[in-house]
Amino acid sequence: MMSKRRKTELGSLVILLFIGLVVYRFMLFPAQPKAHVPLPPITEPQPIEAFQGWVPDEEGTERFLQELGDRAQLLQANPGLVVRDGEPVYLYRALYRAYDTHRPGQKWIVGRQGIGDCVGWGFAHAADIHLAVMFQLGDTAEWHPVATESIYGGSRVEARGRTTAGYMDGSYGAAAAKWLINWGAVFQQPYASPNGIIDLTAYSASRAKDWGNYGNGGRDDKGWLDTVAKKHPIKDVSQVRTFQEAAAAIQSGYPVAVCSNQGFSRTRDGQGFARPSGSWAHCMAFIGVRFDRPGLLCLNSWGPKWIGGPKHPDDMPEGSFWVDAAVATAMLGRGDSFAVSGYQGFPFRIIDHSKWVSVQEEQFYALAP
Amino acid sequence: MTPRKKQQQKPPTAVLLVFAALGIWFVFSQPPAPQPPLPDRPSGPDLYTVFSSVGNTTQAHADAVAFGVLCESLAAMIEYDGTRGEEARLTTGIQLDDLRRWSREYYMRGDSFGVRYPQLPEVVGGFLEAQIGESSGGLVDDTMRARWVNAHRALAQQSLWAANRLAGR
Repeated sequence: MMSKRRKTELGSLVILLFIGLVVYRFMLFPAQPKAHVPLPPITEPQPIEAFQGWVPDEEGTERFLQELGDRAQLLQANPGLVVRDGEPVYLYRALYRAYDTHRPGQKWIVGRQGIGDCVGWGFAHAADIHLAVMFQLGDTAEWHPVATESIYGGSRVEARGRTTAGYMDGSYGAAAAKWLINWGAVFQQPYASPNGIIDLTAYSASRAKDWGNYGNGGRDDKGWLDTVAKKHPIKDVSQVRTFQEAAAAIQSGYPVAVCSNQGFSRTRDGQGFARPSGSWAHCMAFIGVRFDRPGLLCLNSWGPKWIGGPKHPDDMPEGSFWVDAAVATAMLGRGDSFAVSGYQGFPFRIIDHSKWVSVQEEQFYALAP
Repeated sequence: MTPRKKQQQKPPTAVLLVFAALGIWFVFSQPPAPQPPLPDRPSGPDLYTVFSSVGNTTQAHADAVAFGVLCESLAAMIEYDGTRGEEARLTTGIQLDDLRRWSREYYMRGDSFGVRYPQLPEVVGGFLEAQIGESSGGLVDDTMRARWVNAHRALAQQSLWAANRLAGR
């Protein structure tokens, strides 16, 4: 039989042995950092509704409206504008015609934003369509589509007096409007800058991201593309707050860039309207008006296939939908929607009837100085 | 019949040959049938003087034909575009000027009428300006479109008349 002393010794020995084993275990096999397990690739693309980008700034909008002064409110600036009841106007038809001269034989199709730069797209659509209206009326010699990245970058940096704006997406309507009237439009074409060719012919989401941080022209531009933009400013922008104001603007050829939180269904009803649904912090453009069922035609920037259903009229752009008047008023009531009017476009040159029979050495086109 | 009488009845071969030669000469020595007179030069610029200013008549004839065909094509295209109504593509003076500049360039494969006929730009330009008027390049209405069509058609007629005259008709 074991003595008490012996038991105590044995117990201590066991405890010491256990401690020793534990120490031995963790000294020889320290905890290893877990190997980095990469996240599984995204197999499902982001839903299109993720591409929005309206980040309201009420103070910034208010400051801009004060800068505009008497021009701030549409009907105040244009007292002659009245709604012609019953007369539908589809401004997109001017865009179709203008685009046909730009790309003969090709049909205009709405583009698709790749980041949260909807404000650039909404105001670019408005500028494009207004210049197209001017082109149809013979008020400008040429039509060119605007580069959305320029508006987006300019609205985030130059219009706000910044040097950089970071990489969080988004902008607001008044900033884009300020960019367009205080600077202007840069077009979807190549530009020979001091740093090389800047080819804006095709939209680039990465360029939009970069210019969203560094402003129009990107990091090394040093204001060169800003100077280019100033050759073609928008002459006037006015805040639009109701369906009636928007209708009057559209009937006069002035599209309305609309910023709101209103979302919509992805299916048009039998009359081409989309039902309000959900919340989108988003910028689009109102480009048509009708009165059989009062509403405004809204052009989105998610490509042609994000929405389906009947169209009215049959040639309304793919990717667009009608919005009921009351809903439109609610959207415009957010206070960050602007009509675009007037454009320092492209003056006509005087035709010389003798030159066409000979080869000309000099460049034939001359844009506005 | 005596052999001598037989010989007297048959004309000698040499005589027949001489008469045949005389006949052939007579036929081919006749002056050609008179050509119908060249119609009077149509009203418009004197392009015959312009195209005949070079020594190479063959080249001048070819160029006058080319210019005439080009002008008539332009007139026809501008006229047709006007029938398209709202689908018309050529709605400004700038677009019409571009059409004729590009048409000349492509039709002539980059060649220039003005290089060979230095008077041509001034003569053509002066005529068109008188017919169409100085254009701001802006919108073209139906009246202005008709002026463009008629003026270029008149140039075509002038040029083709000059080509006919250069051909020696």
